[in-house]
Amino acid sequence: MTAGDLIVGGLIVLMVVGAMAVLWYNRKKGRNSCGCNCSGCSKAGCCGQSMVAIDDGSDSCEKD
Amino acid sequence: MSFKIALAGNPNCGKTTLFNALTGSSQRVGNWPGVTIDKKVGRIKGTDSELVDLPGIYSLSPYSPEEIVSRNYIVDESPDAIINIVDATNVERNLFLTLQLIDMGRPMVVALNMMDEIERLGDRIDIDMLSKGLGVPVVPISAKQKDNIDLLVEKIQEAASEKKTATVTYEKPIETAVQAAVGALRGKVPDENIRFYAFKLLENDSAVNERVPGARESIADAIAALEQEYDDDADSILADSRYSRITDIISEAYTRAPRDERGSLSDRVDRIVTNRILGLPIFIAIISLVYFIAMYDGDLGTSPGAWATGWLNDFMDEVVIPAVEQWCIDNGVSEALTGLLCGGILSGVGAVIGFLPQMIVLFICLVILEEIGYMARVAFVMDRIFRYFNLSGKSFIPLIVSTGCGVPGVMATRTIESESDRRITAMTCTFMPCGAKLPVISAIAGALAGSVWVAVYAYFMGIVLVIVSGIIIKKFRGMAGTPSPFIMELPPYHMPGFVSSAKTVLDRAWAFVKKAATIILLAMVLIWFLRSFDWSLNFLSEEDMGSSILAGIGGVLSVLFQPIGWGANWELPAASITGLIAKENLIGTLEQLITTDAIPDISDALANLLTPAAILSFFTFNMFCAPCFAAIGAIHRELGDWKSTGFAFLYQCLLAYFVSSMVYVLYGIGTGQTIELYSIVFAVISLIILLYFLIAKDPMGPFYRLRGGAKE
Repeated sequence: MTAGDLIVGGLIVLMVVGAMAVLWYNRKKGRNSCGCNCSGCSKAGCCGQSMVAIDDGSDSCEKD
Repeated sequence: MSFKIALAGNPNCGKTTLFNALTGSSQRVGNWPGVTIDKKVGRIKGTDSELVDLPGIYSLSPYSPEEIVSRNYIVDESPDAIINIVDATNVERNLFLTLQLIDMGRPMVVALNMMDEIERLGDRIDIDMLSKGLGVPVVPISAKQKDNIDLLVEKIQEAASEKKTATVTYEKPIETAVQAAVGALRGKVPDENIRFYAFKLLENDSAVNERVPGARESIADAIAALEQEYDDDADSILADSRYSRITDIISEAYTRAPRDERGSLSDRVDRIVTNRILGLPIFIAIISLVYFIAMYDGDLGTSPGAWATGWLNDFMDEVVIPAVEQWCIDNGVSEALTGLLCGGILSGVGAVIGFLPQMIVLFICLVILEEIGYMARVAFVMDRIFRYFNLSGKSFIPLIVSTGCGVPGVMATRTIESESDRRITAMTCTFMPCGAKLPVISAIAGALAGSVWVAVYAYFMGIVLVIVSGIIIKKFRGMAGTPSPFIMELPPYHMPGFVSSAKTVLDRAWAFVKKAATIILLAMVLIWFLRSFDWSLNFLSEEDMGSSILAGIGGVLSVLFQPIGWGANWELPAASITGLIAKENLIGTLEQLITTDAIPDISDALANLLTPAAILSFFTFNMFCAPCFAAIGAIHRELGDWKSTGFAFLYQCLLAYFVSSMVYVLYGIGTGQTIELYSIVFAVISLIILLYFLIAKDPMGPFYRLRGGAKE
């Protein structure tokens, strides 16, 4: 294994782990991974949350 | 001091803009009603008070989900004070809600918004007189210009700490009936809201009748006396009395400047753009122009979007990737790691990022159209067409939202009252070309000689398929229903705000980059692995890619796509599958699978692989089949069960399949290409199936009867 292999391999691992960590962090924060930006969404603040019946008058955006 | 403040007002009166001005947040502001679906919470700048932005409503009657959310919040959560934002240019109509909010018995301040517009029109509003008439403080503001926001904060803090409430009184017979209702409700509802409940009891409000059973019956004599006095039903009497009160207040406080007899500029423009005959062609022309500016590259020249995308793609393909590849070779990096970094990650992610300039140009155009108020007119124009097909025009708002992203589009269906319309729109709004589909549109447009019509076709075919689906799905059991009423106010045209427009565009562009660096990157690594190894996990060279795991999966699926023109290449079905993770993946996957050193461009590679008819068929299927997993998840959340979600998934895929089949044959024959006989037969069968579902009154009847018979 060359030094180049180590550098490129490390870089790829870093990118993959970084991408997974961002997705995991967003999910934990209640942000969806839809790719939309929260400030550009009429449902901001309700990402990743399930809908509850709205005809009973309760809030339609509630945590799972 | 820390207070809980509610922000309430009519739809599209600048509520979200005021929320942003008060809290310093950047919630989405749309120039059409229905932007705020659920309540949002923020902290008022410079205070410890919490501000809750409620959905826009016209009244506190429980007719729509927005009205229920707002009304229940004020009743159940008892905010310390209410900011009632009122559109000063539409003050008569806005004050109807104001009078109802005053009855709620909470301290209140009226924020009279759009005062800059009033000044421009030359009108005058006597603020003191208005405040005296309503009995609550009135603060003239301009949420957009951030005028008087500090004064509003000061007044609302004051109102919340003083806890001073107001009462609007009406004619004696009405007050007598109200007092009778108050007596019947005493001890059964909170004292502070009792006047509101009394009015609702007289109006025969179902929620109040349920909450206090027998109360209405106990005041039957008082209601009968009231109705006899005015010779009308109680509900109408109360509404009329509110409007009379508003007229009294306005006549003293509002001086209207003489208006141009031809109407305002907005009125005159509206007469053309919402015209019964011209409205739709103008919409088609504007959308065509938008896509022309974003992606045209042909005989007439190169659009700014296409030029910038071409430059970025060339920079990636000719500078960045070769440089990294050379570095890997120089440093003895293994073939597999070089392939993964250059052929997988950089090529795949780079191909997607390459379309960013075009997306930015498209976003700018769409944001401008939305900000000036044109998209609200489009919803109005489309309402006529939707209504003709027994669908609600309200369904068009989620379609507009879906052109940005399908996920908020699906969620925006919550404002639709009719259960069947809501479910149908949630199942079908992802037919609209979202931002993620733009790279696919652009690549296919390139493969079909840079034609802008490909984009326009995707946009309008999306609308047509929503209408077709509305007709078809309404014939399924449990999906029938009358369309929701659609009341929509057309906001006056205004210049787009530079900062808010730029922020929206940058937000969307940044979201696209983040998605490319996360989901797309991970998908590209997975695709590279699947195409570089066989089932025994032996590393394969580029030439042996046909023996890879991905080729095996694509090969099995390719049989399905043989009749619609693109089943001969395993790469294409494989790319379609990866599009389910995110639609941009389609481009990244094609970049990895079909481009070569000789043909580095996806558009050229597609044109080399398929006939134009097959390209259009491939495009049609991928535009309209099931959306990405995130949107499927949103559909599941709205429909509430996996059975319906599965139906939506299957329906979208089948419809896309049938339409692709017809498009393949029609476009092929129309352009003189050779089409196989079995494809023609398949297209005819597809047409018959679609026509059967469109024309038959109960297309599923025989199936249900058969199932019923089998059960018996």
